[in-house]
Amino acid sequence: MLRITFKLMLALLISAFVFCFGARTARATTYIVGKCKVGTRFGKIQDALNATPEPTIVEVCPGEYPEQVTITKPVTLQGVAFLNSSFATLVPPSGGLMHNATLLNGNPAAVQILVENVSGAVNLTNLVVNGSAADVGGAAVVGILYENTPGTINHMVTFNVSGGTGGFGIYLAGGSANPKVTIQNSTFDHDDTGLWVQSNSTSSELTAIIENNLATFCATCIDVEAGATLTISNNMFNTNGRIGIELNGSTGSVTGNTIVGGGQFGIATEIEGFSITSNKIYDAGLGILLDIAVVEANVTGNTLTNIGRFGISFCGSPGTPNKVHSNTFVDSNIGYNAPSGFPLAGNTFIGVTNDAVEPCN
Amino acid sequence: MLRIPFKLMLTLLISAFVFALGGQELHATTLTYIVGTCKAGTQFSTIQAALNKSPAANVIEVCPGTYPEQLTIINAVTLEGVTSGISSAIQITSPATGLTTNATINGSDPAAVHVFVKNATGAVNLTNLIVDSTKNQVATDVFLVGVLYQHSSGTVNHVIARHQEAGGLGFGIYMEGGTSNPSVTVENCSVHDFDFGGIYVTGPLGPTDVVEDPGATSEIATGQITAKVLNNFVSSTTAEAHNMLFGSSTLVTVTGNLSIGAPNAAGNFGMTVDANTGSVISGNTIIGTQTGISLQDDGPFLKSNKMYQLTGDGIFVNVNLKTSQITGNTIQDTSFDGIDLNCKTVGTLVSSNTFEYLVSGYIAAPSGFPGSGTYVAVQNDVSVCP
Repeated sequence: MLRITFKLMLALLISAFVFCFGARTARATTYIVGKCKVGTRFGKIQDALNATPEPTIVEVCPGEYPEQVTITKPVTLQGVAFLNSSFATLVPPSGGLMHNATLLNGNPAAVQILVENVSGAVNLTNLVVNGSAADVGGAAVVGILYENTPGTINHMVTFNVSGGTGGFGIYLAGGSANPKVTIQNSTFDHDDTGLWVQSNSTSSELTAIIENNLATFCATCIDVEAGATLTISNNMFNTNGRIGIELNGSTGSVTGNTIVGGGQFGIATEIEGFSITSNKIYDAGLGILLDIAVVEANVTGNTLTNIGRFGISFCGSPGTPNKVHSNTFVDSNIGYNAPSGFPLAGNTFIGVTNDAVEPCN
Repeated sequence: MLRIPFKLMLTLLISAFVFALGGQELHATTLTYIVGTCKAGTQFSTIQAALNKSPAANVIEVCPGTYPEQLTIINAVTLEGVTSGISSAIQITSPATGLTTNATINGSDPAAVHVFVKNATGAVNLTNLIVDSTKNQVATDVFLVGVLYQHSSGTVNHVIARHQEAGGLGFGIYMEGGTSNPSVTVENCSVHDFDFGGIYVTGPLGPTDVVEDPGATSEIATGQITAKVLNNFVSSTTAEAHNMLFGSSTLVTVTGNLSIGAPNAAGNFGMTVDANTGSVISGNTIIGTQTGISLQDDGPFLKSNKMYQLTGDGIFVNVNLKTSQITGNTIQDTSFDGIDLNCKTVGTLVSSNTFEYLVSGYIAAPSGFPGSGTYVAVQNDVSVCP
């Protein structure tokens, strides 16, 4: 009897200890920016981020916040709805944006949300970053910059991020921590470049998943440079500009995206490592440009409609076995611009005004 | 022993008879003419000559090439372009003298129709053709139509209608019903560079409600044309264009289409819907027009459509609702509002829509409107009727 009671008491003590300890570690520290909710409130987002104890969640009430924000610790920063609005937006301070970062190419940048070398996840949700009137002189303007930091960017909006030496809605910079970043359900509107991805490395130092986003009126909607591994899927691009997706480095896949809007190129790549499959491209000057020596990953299942010049253009090798096949060309001028002897079997041509293939010069 | 050979012979005789009859019927269903010289068979140099030939073909295969013709089809037929070598372009272009006025649409409007399917006796199927009406020379105040089905059934598949431009009166593909209640399908087509309408489906009097009396219920309950409009690409570049219109007295299923408007082309509509009860507009994507979908009459369901980068409202409701449901639609990144309820009575028929990055989710909502939806970066979730 005594032993049973002792065991029971011991078990209760351990349970109580675990419960208390667990509760302490799991408890979220939530701060409020604005007055839409009860809790520890702040007038500025940066003040909430800087507070002690450090927050795990910062909820931002609807309103306009003229701030440049720097995040150095793991946190979830999210806009919340209140009454009849869900519109929380960061705008440049009245004096314009200050230079607060350096991009991988060495150029100074004025960043509205700077996420700087954070070891844990930084998650951004339901916020608008409005770059209008940034007034930065010679620097680049960046809506959101993730430097060597993991996390998720979900339901974010970057608007009118342009000017200086370039505007980037979101700039993902990889690094030694080899972070993983997901960008999903977000909107890029009237940014010079919607999304820029790069590491200063020839090997991958960043994994990025880019899915279900909308990019409109961008000179280049997505620009991928070296040093990353990407999955770019199910995004919608209304370019009205130059390029939907430009691949200058890295590896990965580009799948199930829709690109419209009369741009110069739908997808352009100068790197061998990307598979390009099941995308739909409309109204481009050139659908898919493969400016590479050898096609090493599949370029298949794409549909190219109302393309002004070539549906798919490549003058290198299609790979062994052939990696470029099973594409559909509709209502376009010429299907392929390809090396002499390129096999057309397996592709579909509907209303291609001139020839299905034009040999490269 | 004798009975077995007799049964065997009888079986063989019956089999031979059935085979002969079946062969005859098979022959009757596969009379094929060729236009051009890319395939062996009975060849013609013009499409109309093949259409006019007796006995009438039920399949006409058209070789790649340019055919400056204005066609009239009155018999059931499948007219299809075929690929030869590295070419798949079968282009029906305007004759050198232009397109002449050869039809009346909307009950009283004169029209020059490039490919006219006129009171056809059976299904007319068009496949893999380009109808390019450049240099049409259509007379002033005459409508231009790329492909017109008038009181005719059939399928238009993989047809490209382009350059139907005639002083603001050009249509790409026009399906006009009648008392025979034809059934048509328009699928996988590419329609662009028109200056009035992309794909129209109307009763015999055209889009009367839309033009003259928005919100009226003049529809004939049974409909006068049944249409499926699936997986088409429609792109307008001119102001005030209607990319797709489904008029009164129609029963339509409209799914998987991509409707695009050009920047600075003000006043264009992704879809205008005046169709009958039972019609469903679902799973379509509309980008860059001024208005996404304009609902002109009660009855159709608008479900799971996506609208992006509009310069006006996503959905405009121009009628009190008793039957229509507007649910599951996503409206994102528009200059104005998600769904303009226009102070109409809608009850709970409008619900569960998603609004992202726009001014108001619902605007001009009637008093007591519950405002069911998902709101992300919306300045005013619901703005009530003033």
